[in-house]
Amino acid sequence: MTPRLSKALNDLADEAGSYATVDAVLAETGRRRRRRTVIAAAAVLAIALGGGVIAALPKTSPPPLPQIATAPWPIPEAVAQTLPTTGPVGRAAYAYTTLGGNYLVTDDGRRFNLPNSGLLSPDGRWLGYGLAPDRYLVRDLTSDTVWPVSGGMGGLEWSADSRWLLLTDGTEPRQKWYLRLDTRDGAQRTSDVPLGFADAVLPSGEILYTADPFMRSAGADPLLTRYDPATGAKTEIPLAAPDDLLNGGTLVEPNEQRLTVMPGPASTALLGVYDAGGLTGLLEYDLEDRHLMARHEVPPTAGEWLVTAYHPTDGIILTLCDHTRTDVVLLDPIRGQYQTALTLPGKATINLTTSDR
Amino acid sequence: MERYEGLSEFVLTRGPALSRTAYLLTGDHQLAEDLLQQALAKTAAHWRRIQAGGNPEGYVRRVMINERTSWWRRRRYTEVAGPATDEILAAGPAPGTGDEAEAAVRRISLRRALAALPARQRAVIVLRFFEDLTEAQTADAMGSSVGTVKSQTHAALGRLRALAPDLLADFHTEVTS
Repeated sequence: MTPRLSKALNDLADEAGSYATVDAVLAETGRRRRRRTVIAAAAVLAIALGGGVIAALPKTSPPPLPQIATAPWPIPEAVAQTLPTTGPVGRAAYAYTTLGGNYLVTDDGRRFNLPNSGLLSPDGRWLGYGLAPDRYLVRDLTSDTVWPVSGGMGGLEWSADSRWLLLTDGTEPRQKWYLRLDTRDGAQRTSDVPLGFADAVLPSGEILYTADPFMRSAGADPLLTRYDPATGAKTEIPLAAPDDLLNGGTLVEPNEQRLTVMPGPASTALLGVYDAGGLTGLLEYDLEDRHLMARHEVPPTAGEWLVTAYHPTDGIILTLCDHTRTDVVLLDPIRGQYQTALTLPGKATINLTTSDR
Repeated sequence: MERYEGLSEFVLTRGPALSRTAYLLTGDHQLAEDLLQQALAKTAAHWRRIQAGGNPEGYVRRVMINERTSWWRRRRYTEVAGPATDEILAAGPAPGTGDEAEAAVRRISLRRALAALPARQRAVIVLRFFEDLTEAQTADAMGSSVGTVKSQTHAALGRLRALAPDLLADFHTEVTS
């Protein structure tokens, strides 16, 4: 066995607080007690650290920059600047997060540090990011406009037209409910449905989600719901998933309780198909007539595939990541061809804007 | 309250242990709180059935692992090694005893190494070497096969060895055999 590892795990676990309160658990909507103040790990470690031992740890070096394979996404500057707290900085090409930090890259290649991972709109104009657990901003990168989100806990997804941002609502007692922001006027509307287990916002402003939180019946046909927060109207969308297109896989993520749903151009949406090894394909549906349009194959390449967007101009955006690199790959849904657009260092996430932004 | 009979006692008695597991799965106090509260809320929704099953703690643990993996996949919460840690390391030594310093360095190394693991590999390390579960128990908690647990353990230990060799200096290979 590994007593040293077990001892280290126990030592690390001693830093844990007590996160369970029965009142919070009993609240029907997942209400929770006020968030425990985060203990600054840095301060704890600084007190505990002793002389001389620090030198034994390897020095860290700046993480390598993204490698750009395809225009029009720019090569970023080597030196990252601090993002100004106010004012325009220009439209962005992508935002990414690696083990080295969170960055925003503008169209002209300037690179900015972000305090947390940013959620960039598909047109590169709007950036959502958190400054504190209860302070989330949605900022127009081309003007002085900033929409503070009341109690917003975090951004989830942008609509394809960059008008709507879907967030989680952090307002007591509605934590873990959807909140929708309209970038045209900053209007925020909370849903009266709890977080689903696949979520997106459509250009119509409707939220697209799966309601069953314990959906584990692999092979069952998916049931999506379109929900309009303005009217409360709900429309169920049963979708067929023929066995021959699942190829023995399932629409439920391996060992998960959710589906991968990615809205695409017009009224299309992608659903992920998985086997035990991960994503194997994408089923494309027309949500209007519920027609199954195509299955897009994901190459059986080593690494983890993740679908991140479906742009009208650039096709399906996927990432293929392992511990050394993350390739951002464009899949042409018509020709079935794959093209690497850029490569990020290490395990990374990215919001890539459209090439016609 | 009949619907939730026994839930309060369960949360009170097992909450601290589950909190420790949640913290190891996330490496962050707020994420750990989110994770555990989500898992407990889901457990509460089906409390009578889960309680009747006789292992509510195992159920909560399993939901936490699934949720944690889901977060990682969805990239809602991006965990990083922590610039604060880097800043401390760059700032140079601080006063303290040798034992404290060694333990602190071990925690830093472990925190960094865990942050570099995929969620399920991280989970298998926590379950096998912190919770001290057997491979079969770990497989049950993760909703996977024993074979998958073995392969995940092997991969996770290999990565930990590369990232934090000191932590596995006393490692014996029979763990994954």
